[in-house]
Order: sequence, then structure tokens, then C-alpha cells
Amino acid sequence: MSVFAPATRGNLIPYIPLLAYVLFACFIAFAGFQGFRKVENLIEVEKLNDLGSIADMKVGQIVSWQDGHRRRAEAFSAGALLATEFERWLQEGKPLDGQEQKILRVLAGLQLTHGYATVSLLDRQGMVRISTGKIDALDGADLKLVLEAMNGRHPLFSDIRRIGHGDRAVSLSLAAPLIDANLENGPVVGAVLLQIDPHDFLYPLLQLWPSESLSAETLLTRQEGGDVVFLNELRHRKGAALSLRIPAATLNLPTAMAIRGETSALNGIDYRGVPVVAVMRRVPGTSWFMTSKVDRSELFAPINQLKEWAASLGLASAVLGGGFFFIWLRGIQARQKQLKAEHDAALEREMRVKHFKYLTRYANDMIIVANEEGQIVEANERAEQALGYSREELLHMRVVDLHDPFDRLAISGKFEKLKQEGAIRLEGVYQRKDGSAFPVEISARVIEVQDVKYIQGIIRDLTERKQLEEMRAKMEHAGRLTIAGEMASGMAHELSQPLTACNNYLDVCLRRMDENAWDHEKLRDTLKLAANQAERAGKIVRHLRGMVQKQGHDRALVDVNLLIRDVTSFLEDEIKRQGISLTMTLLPLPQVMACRIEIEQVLHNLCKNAIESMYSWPQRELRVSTRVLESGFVLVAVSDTGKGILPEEMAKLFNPFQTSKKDGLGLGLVICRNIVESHGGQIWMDTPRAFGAEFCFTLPIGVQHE
Amino acid sequence: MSECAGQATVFVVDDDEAMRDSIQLLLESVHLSARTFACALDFMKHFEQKQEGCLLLDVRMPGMNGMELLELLKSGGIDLPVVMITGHGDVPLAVRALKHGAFDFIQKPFNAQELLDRVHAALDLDRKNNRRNSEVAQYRALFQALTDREMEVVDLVVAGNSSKMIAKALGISPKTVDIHRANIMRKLNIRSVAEMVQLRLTLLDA
Repeated sequence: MSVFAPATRGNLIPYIPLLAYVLFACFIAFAGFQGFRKVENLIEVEKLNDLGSIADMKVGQIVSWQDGHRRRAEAFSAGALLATEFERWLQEGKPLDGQEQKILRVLAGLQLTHGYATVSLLDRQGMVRISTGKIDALDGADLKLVLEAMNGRHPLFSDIRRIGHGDRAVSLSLAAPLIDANLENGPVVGAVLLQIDPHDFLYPLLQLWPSESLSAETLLTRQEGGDVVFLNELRHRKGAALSLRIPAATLNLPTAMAIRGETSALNGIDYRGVPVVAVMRRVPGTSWFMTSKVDRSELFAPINQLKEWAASLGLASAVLGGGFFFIWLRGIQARQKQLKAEHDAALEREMRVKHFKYLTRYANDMIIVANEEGQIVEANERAEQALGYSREELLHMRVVDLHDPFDRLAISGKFEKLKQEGAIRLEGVYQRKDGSAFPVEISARVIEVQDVKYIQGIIRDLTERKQLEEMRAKMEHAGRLTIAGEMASGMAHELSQPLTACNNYLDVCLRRMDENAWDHEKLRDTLKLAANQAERAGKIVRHLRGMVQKQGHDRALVDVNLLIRDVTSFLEDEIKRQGISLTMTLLPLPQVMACRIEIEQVLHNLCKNAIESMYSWPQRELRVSTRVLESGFVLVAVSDTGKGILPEEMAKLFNPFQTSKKDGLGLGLVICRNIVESHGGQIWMDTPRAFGAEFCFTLPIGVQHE
Repeated sequence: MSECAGQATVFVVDDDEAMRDSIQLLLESVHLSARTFACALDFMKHFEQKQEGCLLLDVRMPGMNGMELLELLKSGGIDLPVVMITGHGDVPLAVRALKHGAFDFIQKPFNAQELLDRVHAALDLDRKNNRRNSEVAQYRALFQALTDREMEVVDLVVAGNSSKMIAKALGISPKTVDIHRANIMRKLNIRSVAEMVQLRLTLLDA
């Protein structure tokens, strides 16, 4: 756990700035939002004020417009204008000459001056008597208005009402009673009906906006049952006047809110369903409500643009910052990873270096590292000791400089071979600083460190081994000579007896003859003795071949497998030294009557021949096997994978003084055959194979020979 | 053994019959008395200490070999000269034999004359030994006549002391020393101090 804990903390560290960054961004966003809210509020308040004043102004204008009309109507009522003439007309029953024209001219002037749609004079019953328009009879609404006005003796305004189909078919009527001004409380003579086209003044008034605006408008509404009815033409919808109706219960509709008595709506939704800011006013003296409104979108357009700018700027910086942060984080992670990898690698390298140093320091062999050019770059203590050079001196030398001058020729080209094959093993001669030479075995191989190739050589001083090998060879040779020597001295001893005796007899004869002391017979006997001894010597020479067995070794029951194990263990050192693999297939055997030493000598000879035949031969396998033959013999086979025996040599194989060895006596196989045959067995070489040779010999089971 | 010359006998120990027989004939041909034995034990049974002559001894023999017999004889105080017969090339064995007191050695195969020369030399030595031995016995008898005090005086004289020094050493007067010396001369039948020294050393050597 402790190993991983720092790594985990290390992984968290880069996220702390990220967290800080996110918090900071949130703070900025919140502050920005709050700022915008404040600005919005300010704008709202200011706009409400604006809308309020506009609405107030328009309400004032409508009121004064109505007042103007009402004053004119009252003037009519007071009879200031036409009452007298019209009364006369009415009383006469018919207009006077030129009177109709005169009245009509006045009415037309009135119509023209004040912008009425029509001006009509009506009698007490409400019948149209004269009109500037083509009106023959009043419709119900107007008639009712006129009768009410006459009854009430006061001018009355009608509401705005639809008078037909089409955009402009709306109208507003003002009815004024004509009262005879000559009498106090004079009778109502008739009435004047002034039809007003709202398009003529009212609608333009409403539509007029003191400043340029894309969405601002003024609405005139009234309540009609459960609905709000829009009275004027709308900016955003054609033909809406008196036809658009919206339920008065609609929650955020400013015109509906006006009916409920509210005077301002910050978050109103207008007839189009668009958020608006609105101010509502009641128009005094009417059932109308005035609503001045402007779209919130327009209201906050500048600030919204600013908002968008700020938001996109914030988003861009957030994305950019995030991106940078991500890259930075990745960078840190990658760097951390790399650092860790580097650290691990360094640690491993250090371990390796330590290990290598340990190995090289205490190595019994010289270890030298050189670059591809053969320049020495590293050498261990053993190399310093063995060569007599200091490390600094070695580092200024090439590997070839270490060789004895005579050896340099022999190893030329080996360096290239090494570079080609990657590894090489060779024997050479090195020269110490003091000039003395010593044999070495070099195992060199190409190693790669961080893509750079080096040559690493492990060099073993062969002085001791060579000495040992030489000594061993000498001893073996001496051993062989000793055997031959012992045989020779044995033979000499055997021969010296009869020769000496013969010499003695002859000498006696000579002396006796000189003295004339002995008779013929005595001399003859003595000479016969001498001849016997000479014959004895001859016999010894004739039976030279049998000499070996006559040395008098005792025979006993022996286990041949045991003898084979003894002999191979005796030869174990050499077998190992030559890198030979030994395979023994020894089946259980009955005992044979034999001379242990002689059979060992046979086994020793055959094994030794096999081993020597594999010198400088790549495949090295020595096989020894035994088995029982049905014919009552034990068979021993010794085979090798060595150079084998040439067919022409086969025939002479067992002849004395035949040898393929440099310093052999050529007696080994002769002695073997003598021994085996003296035991009643046979020895032969197996039919030649592709390589190697196999020698077999047999010994009779449990038969006491001789 | 029929043709004996004096009392000396040449003893021959060899396991080879032909060797024994031929050597015997050879020795007899030069008028030497010879006795042969096939093995060391045989010789030990028949040999008597007083017998004069020499021994021809083969080194290689079954049973007790020549070297062992030689060592046995020398440790038994028998000074019969021994000539060892060795095989050819057995020089180290021969040298060992000489160190153990053998008189000489001869290598087989040998010339008859060589053997005879060595046998004669051995017999000469044996004779000399015998003569000296008898002299020593004679001297020993003479010295036995001396008193203890006279023996002390003889040893001091042989050590090279003057009469005065002897007197001082023995705590007697020089005159008494001179009387002792006169008696000694008379008893040993000698006339000079030189002769006395020679006699005494001969005895000590023996």
C-alpha cells in the first residue's frame, strides 16, 4: 500500500487547480449574472418611467381630444351655431330656400375643420334631416346614443364600434342635443351626430411613439363581458381593432392586468405571447384602458448583446482555459509518467550496475568491455592484476594491444567475425605490461546498451589449466611408458636367468677343458645343461606374446558392470574435460571368472581410444553397454562418435605397432586381444558406421579358464 | 664340495635351479667350496655363525626376498660379506642393498669372470675380518689383565694427557702414575705409548 499511496496523491494534485478554476469561473459567472440583473433592473425601472410618462402623455392627449370634441358638442347644444336655423327648419316643416344649403355648408365646414367622418342633424325623433355623409337613417347604436343625449341634454360619446366590414370600418360617435338657446331651459330641438373616424386622429395618436422603437406600441382596450377587446389597430397584427378578444382572466396579459387595477407589468406576456414591459392607465371619462408596452427583447437588446458577448467570451475563455488546462494536465501526467519510468529505469540500471560491479570485482576472470572500434572502455580489477596495467592505461588501449605480437596475426579478422556473429570463443596469447606472455581463453560477445554496441570479453588465464593439461598428458604418457617398461623389464628378467645360467655352464666347460680336468662325458653333460638354458631363453622369446598373462594375476569371480563403473569414474575427469557425454546401458550380468586388473586394462584401453578419437571432433558421445548372450557370454560394447576407422586400417587393427596416434606404441589393442583371448573370449570391431567406432568383446560366464 | 680350498665356503641363494647349479659348477671349477639354497629360509636353517666365506644372494625371490634376508643377517651381527645379484637396471635396489651393508652387487646377465672376481674379493674381506676378529680377541684378553685403576690411566693417556695431568685428575702423585704406566706396558707387552693408543682404539672399534 505504501508504495501506491504517494502515486495516488500525486494523481490528485493536478486536479486542485482544476477545481480552483471551476470555482473561479462559477464566481465570475455568478457575479456577471448579478451585475446583469442589476443593470436589467435599472433598465426596467427607467423604461417603466419612460413608458409611464408616454402613457400619461397619451392619456392626457386623448382626454384633451375628447374634451375638445365635447366642448364643440356643447357649443352645438348651446345653440351657438345652428340651433336657431334648424329649429326654424323643424318648425316650418321644411327647409327654407337656401337654408338647407347654408346649413350643409356649415356642417361641411365643421366636418372639414375638425375631421369628422360625417356630421348629421337629427330631429327630436332621431330622424336624419341633413347629413354631410350619405346617411339616411341612424343605426341602432347611434340612435340610442342620440336619444340618450337629447334626453340627458348633454353631449354623449359613444364607444368605438365596428360599423361594417373592413379595416377602416370602425367609428366613434358623439351626439349633442340641440337646445334652444333663447329660452331658459329651452326645449331640445334635435341633435347633431358627429361620427369620428378613429383612424383620423385617435389611432395615429396611439401609434405615435416619441422615440424610435421596433416593438413599442400603445394599446387601447376595454372590458366587454369576460373579455378584453382591443380597440385600436395593432402594430403587430392587422385588422385587430374590435375583433381581437382575449379572456380578461389571462394572468400576465398587461391589458387584462389593467382591468384588475394594476398599472405596470415587468414580466407581461402580450397578445402575441411575447414577453413585454408595460404600463397601464385608465383613460378618465371612458371605459378605456391605455397600455404602453415594449418588448423585453428590445428593452434588453443592448444588454442582451452584451450578455451574449460576455457569455461567448466567458465560454470561449472557459473552453480555452479548459483546453489549456487539459493539455497542461496531460503534460503533467505524461511528465510524471516519464519521470516515474525514468526513475524506475534509473533504479534498475543502478541495480544492474551494482550487480555488474559486484560480479566484475569478484570475478575470477578478466572482464573487458570495448566499443565497436575495439577501444577498451571498461576493465575489472582482475584484468589490472593479470595484465599489470592500471585501469587508466587499459582505457587508452585497444583490445588487440593486449595480445602478444605473434598472436595478433592469428586473431586478425576475428574481431570482424565477432561483430558479424555476435559471439565468439577463441584461445589466444596475451602479453603483460612486463612483456611476459600467457595463454588465455576469450569469450567475447556483442552487447547493446542504449542502442550503442559494445564488445564484452571474458578472458580466462589458461596458464594453470595448460600446465595441468601438460602435466596430465606427461603423466599419461609416462604411465603408458611405465607399462611398456615394466613389460620390458619383466621380459629382461625372465631372459636374464637362462642366459646367465647358460653363460655359467659354458664358462665352466671352458675352464675344465683348459685344465684338461674333465673327461668327455662330464663336459658333454655340462654343455647339455648350457644348451637347455639357451633353449629356455628361446622359449621365452617365442612365447613373448604370452608374457602378459604369465605375470601372474589372480582370477576371481567379478562383476563386469562394476569394473566398467570403476574405469569410467577413473576417466571421469578427462570425459568432463573433453565435454563428452557418457551414456551407460548396463544390464544385469552374471559374474565372470576373470582377472580384475586385466579386464580393467582392456576397458581402460577401449574407453581411452574412444575418447581420443573424439578429440577435435564436434560430436562427443561415449556409450558403454553390456548384455548377456545366449551362447553363454557376457558382451561389452564401447562406442564413440569420433573420427572412426578407415576401411584400410581395419584389417591391421589388432596388429602390434599399428597406431594412428602421434606418440602411441601400437600395443593397446594387441594387449587387449591377448587378455580377452586368454580369458576365452573374443574381441572385434563392429562393422564401420557413418562415423565413430564400436569395439565389442565377450567373456565366458562363470567358466574357470586355465 | 669335494674340492674345498681351506675352510671358506661360498653360499648361493637363488630360486632358479639352473642359476644355482651353474654357479656351483663355476665356483668348483676355480676350486671354491660352494653350497646352494633355493630360498632364504633354507639358508637360515643350515648356516652357522662361525662359518667363513661369502654369500651370493638373488634379490628377486618368492617368499623372503634378498633384501629382507640381508637386513636380517646384518641385524643379527653376521658380518659375512654379501654379494647381491640384481636384475638389469635395478640400480636403486642395489644402492639400497649397499646401504644396508652388502659388500657388492652384480647385475644379471653377468659374465662368469665378473662373478668370480667379486666372490674372490668377498672372500678376501672375510679373511681380513676373521684375522682382525682374532686380534681383537687377543687384545681383549691382554686388557682384561689390567686393574681398574690401570684402565683409567690407559684412557687418560689415550686422550693425550701428561703424567702430571693424570696425577692431578686422579688425585694421586705423578710418581704413582709412572708406576702404573710401567705396569701397563709390561702387561700389554708393548714398548711405546703409540702402541698403547693403537691397541686401545682397535678394541674400541670392534
